[in-house]
Amino acid sequence: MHYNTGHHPHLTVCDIDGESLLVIDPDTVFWALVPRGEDINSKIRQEILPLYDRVKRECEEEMQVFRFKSSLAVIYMNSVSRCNLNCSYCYIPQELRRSHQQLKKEQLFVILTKACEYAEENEGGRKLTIVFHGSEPLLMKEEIFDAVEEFEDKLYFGIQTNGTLFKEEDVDFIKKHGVSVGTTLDSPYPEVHNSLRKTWSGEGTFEDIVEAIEWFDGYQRLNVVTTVTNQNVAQLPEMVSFLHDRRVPSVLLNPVRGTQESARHLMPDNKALIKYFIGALERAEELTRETGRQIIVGNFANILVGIIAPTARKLMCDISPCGGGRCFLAIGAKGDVFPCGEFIGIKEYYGGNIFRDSISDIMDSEPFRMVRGRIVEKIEPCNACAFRNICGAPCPAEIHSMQGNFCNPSPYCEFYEELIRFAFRIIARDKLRYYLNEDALNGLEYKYRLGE
Amino acid sequence: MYYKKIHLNTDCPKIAIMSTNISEKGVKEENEEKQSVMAYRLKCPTAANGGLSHYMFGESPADKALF
Repeated sequence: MHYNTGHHPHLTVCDIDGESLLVIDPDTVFWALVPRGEDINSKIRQEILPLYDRVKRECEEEMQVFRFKSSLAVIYMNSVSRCNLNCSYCYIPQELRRSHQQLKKEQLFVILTKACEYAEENEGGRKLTIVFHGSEPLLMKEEIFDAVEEFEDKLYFGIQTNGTLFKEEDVDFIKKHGVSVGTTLDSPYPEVHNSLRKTWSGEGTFEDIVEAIEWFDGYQRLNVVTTVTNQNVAQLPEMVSFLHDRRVPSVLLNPVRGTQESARHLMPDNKALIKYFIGALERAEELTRETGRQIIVGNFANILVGIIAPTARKLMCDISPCGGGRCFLAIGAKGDVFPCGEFIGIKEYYGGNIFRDSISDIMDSEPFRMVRGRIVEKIEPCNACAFRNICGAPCPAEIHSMQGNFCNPSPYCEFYEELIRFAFRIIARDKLRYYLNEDALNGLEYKYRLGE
Repeated sequence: MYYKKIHLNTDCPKIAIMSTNISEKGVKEENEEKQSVMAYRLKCPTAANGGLSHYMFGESPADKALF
């Protein structure tokens, strides 16, 4: 049995650390970890190739379906253009956040009805998820809560909010209706958070957000987003401790996107990002070991899932084509539709208007097809990278804005590369239970396993 | 902790290895050794499409629970 020639499997060997070598087919994400010091050629021929020969076709089909046939699952509603905050790194253009466009309740209901009909006709009645996203959805809290009550049997709901407008009774409503919530906190230190996330008049928001997080008191559908900049990157391990103390079940540590020029001077250096992000992961592991209570770093968990169960990943940024215009779309306050919230305000990516066009026509529009056409195979050096289908070279909107052509690698390429290497080390050391929800992990089944 | 060095086959040099020949004797000896290679794949039986989910808000309780 041969490899890397002709019709035989093509396997790439990568160094992971001093203990293991990774053998991977980057196209299917079939992988094997071989202890250093072993005769790797013998291991490939005697153990890895016989397994891959058995599962290769299935792996190929699975990845093909996942990358190119996944259907619409989420609609991001940017129902209100206004925001009560003026965060300097916001991905939504400032002039839009200053404007006062907002969907009326009747318009919102028309859109949600249309979403239900689309799901019925195209998804076999599978429930779509509606996420009320930017600019600040709780500025139209009454309309949103009415929508949740009216449509909760037909749709799932989530709210991504800056967290400053919650009242305690809102938290009760959200818990009662099982709405997923993402809120934002950038630092455990008030002065750092307040320098990044402030009102138009410059007032800080730390206390309001922390109070709201405490009201949620361990609510399992709460997720805190920390936007990582060069101002807070060194605090990521402390951020994890701070949120764990407040019973937050999961956090996303998202490097700031350079989609808007005003954010670019805040982008963290890749080396600092790697150092402190991995420090935050190690802190999360320590806390789990010490307390028995987990805090999951969602964007790292997604990478792990992308390796051990590629089609079960949740964040559709880490695969190409990304989820934009494929698994999700974003609707603005005037009904304009874009492949993702990151594209809002970029004219070339306007896919239609939800009040004039059908969702099917919008999904088939040229801008949506263009985003779906961005695959790592077209990007140098991603097309030869062993991690190309674990990383996906995000984010097209950011890269378009920064480089004028989205078929380029991510400005965080080095960070993603090192994070994936770290993920393989976690797998090699059998430590997944500290990084993925243990109950859910136990609920997963083996698709294949060496030795079976 | 993080350390940076030259890596193979990611953003660094691309070097392929390939099989040439291995003796039957070598094959038999390898088969007698204890298995030390790790390779597996999991699936989420409760999620749509055998695992497909989406951004941060999952569809099934098991799906959501991963994060």
